Amino acid sequence: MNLEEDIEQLEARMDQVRHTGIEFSQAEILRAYAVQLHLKQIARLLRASRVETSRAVGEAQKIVVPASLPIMRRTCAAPPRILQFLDRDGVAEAQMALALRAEDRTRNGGDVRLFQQNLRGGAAVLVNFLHVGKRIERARRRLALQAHFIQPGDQQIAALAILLANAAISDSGVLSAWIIAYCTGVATPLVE
Amino acid sequence: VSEVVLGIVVALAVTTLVLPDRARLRLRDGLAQEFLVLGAFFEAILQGFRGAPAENLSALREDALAMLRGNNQLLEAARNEPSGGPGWREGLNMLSQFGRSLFDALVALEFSVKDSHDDAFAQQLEPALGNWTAIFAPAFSMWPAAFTNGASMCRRT
Repeated sequence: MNLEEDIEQLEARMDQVRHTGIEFSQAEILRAYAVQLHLKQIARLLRASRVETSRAVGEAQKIVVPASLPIMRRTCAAPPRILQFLDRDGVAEAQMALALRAEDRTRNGGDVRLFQQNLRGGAAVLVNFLHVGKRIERARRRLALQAHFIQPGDQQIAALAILLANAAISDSGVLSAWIIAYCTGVATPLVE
Repeated sequence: VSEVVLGIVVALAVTTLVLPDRARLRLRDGLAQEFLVLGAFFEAILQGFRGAPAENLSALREDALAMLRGNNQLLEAARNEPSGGPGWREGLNMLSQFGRSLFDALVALEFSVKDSHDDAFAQQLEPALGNWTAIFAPAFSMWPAAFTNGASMCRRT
């Protein structure tokens, strides 16, 4: 269903018949315009209800997980996380112990962050090093690096993780950062 | 066995008395019904504009109004229930508000087409106008149905 397309179709049709309007009574023409305005208002309300309802349920906050990272996909699909997405308790922020600043808001930045910390423990999952994409490019140039400390107060951020974020800026530092993180228990293996 | 029975009784008591969610569940279903009635109301209005007026137009309007009032009461009751979480309260609250706004818009639409009778100018707008009726009427029930399904999923998990 494409509400925008339907609105455009109706407007295009109105444009076509507008020039023949002199053949009809003024009341009919005004009525048609009023109907058009009300229909557009209803379309806007329907669209807004869809978006807002989806946001409330949590669809808009789903983390997009690359297919090449099955471990992350499984983590995101875990029922407890779904429940918290549904309740909009800010899981996207609370689970991110450390993240690189992205172009999007932090709430939607699950696809570009380097580390994701499991809610239940201190282990962090190293995610998306191979798919950091264009949003990390700025960080590579050392222009936009800034860690986001958005974890809840009862969880501790390893100081090492901050260093890892700096190391991960350069391509050569990615692997070493992960090795250090893995050896110190901050990160878990990418492949089980 | 007695301990298991005692546990079941305590769980039932907690669910019923301490963490009730009856109003929330009824509101969820009520909102789905409300949007269905609004969709039927919308269809009847446009049917009257495009041709013969619908016979059940006033009945549908009264039904929609009654559903709105009932759901408002359920929403007030659901706010006092501790279960559900802020996300559900916000979602149900927003759906209730959208229902009221849609009803107002539909009443305005009904008022604007009140005196229409086989308008020749409106017939020039076909088939675009007919598409709206065919496409938008199901849209009224689509999002609340999705919300209801989401609620069921949440409860199962």
